[in-house]
Amino acid sequence: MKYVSIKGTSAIINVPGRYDLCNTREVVAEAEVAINNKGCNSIIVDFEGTTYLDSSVIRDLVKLRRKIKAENFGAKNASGIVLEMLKRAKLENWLTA
Amino acid sequence: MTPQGTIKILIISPIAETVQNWLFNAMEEFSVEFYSSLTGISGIDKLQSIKPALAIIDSELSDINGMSLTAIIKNTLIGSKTEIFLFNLNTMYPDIKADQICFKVQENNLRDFLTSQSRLFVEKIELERRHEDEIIKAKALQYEYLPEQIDTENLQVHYVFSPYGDLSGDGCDFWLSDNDKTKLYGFLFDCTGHDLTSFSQCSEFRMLLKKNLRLNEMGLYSSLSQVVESINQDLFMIDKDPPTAAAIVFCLDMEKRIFHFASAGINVILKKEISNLNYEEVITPSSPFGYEPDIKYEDESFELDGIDGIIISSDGFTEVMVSNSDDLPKENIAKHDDVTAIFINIPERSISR
Repeated sequence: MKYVSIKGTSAIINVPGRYDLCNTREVVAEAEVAINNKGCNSIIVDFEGTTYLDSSVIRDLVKLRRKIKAENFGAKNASGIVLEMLKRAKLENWLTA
Repeated sequence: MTPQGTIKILIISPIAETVQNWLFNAMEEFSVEFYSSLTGISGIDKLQSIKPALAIIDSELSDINGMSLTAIIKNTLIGSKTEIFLFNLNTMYPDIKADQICFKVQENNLRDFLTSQSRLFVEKIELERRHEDEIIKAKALQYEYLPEQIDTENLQVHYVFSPYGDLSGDGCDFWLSDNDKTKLYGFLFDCTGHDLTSFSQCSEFRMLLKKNLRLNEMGLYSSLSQVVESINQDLFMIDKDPPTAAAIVFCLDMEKRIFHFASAGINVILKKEISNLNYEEVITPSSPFGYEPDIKYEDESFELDGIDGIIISSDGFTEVMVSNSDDLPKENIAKHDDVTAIFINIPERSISR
């Protein structure tokens, strides 16, 4: 998988560069494979290396969070524009570390 | 396409075989036939006989410049119907005819560009083929839903509605208050995607926004934040896994000269002062619809004194507007999303006391 790696039972999403409408569906598809077929029961979005985030990504992450349950969803390493976008959407509480 | 529905792709490049291998691996699930030419001259000939849906052309050909080749092809009857991706560009001359271009980049970036763009193209063709009638109807319908533009002495309200593909995931509406025409009500929303699913979601959001904002106009809500909260709760009542969307509702009160709004995920409004040429951002943090059922939204407002322009838009618009910012990746310059925006112009005389 291109954007999702598996660590134990966690699916780690990492999209270097621009994370937007052009790749969000591919990311969701990979995350769903990790959950449905690879036994993952949590999702961590690692924004290390992500330089941009658009609103379509936020909406797709909201849906993934709902699917995996809020307590099993987190994000980390957000900075710059990515952090700003999370704050604008009042989602900075996703950041776990 | 052939009658059987196989999509034909012609690659004209000295590295046609390599490109073909990239695409073949990336599009195994699709019915695609590949053809290749190593030179421009043989490429023109092959294109006219094969009539491919997509031609991928290398700018650096041994016999003819790829950009000129593209222009020649695009001016033929068959070529005009062929999508063309032109890659390996060193420079760009005026009147470029390619549908997509890629400058000279490292091989892995070229592979990513060609595979992702070709996949998108093939997916679009496949979708169109499966849902041709529905898409034609939906495409016509989305324009019927658009509001009448307003051009009065006191107020001008226009919009831009620019789908990325055939269908937009965005929508907007606005109208003057029924009784005295002194208030402008409106909303704008942004659902993910540009396909029939998005179109269906758009219809749902448009209906909810219009109904609840009309109820607000009739006095059934005491604030716009209540409108937004009610819609969000309705979404969770209708479906425990509701669709998500970003939206904003607004009411411009021309008598009190205040712009009220409540946002659910559309977090930037642009406003312009009379003395200023540029728009400034008004940022209002808020979560999108469908995040949590019991989420609280906030009422926001600003006075219209000294303001003669307001833009409410989907982020597809704000992204291209601020694309010159040093903070943003430069690829933002290219439009890559639906763009919808409402432009409110308040002539100076209408806001003077």
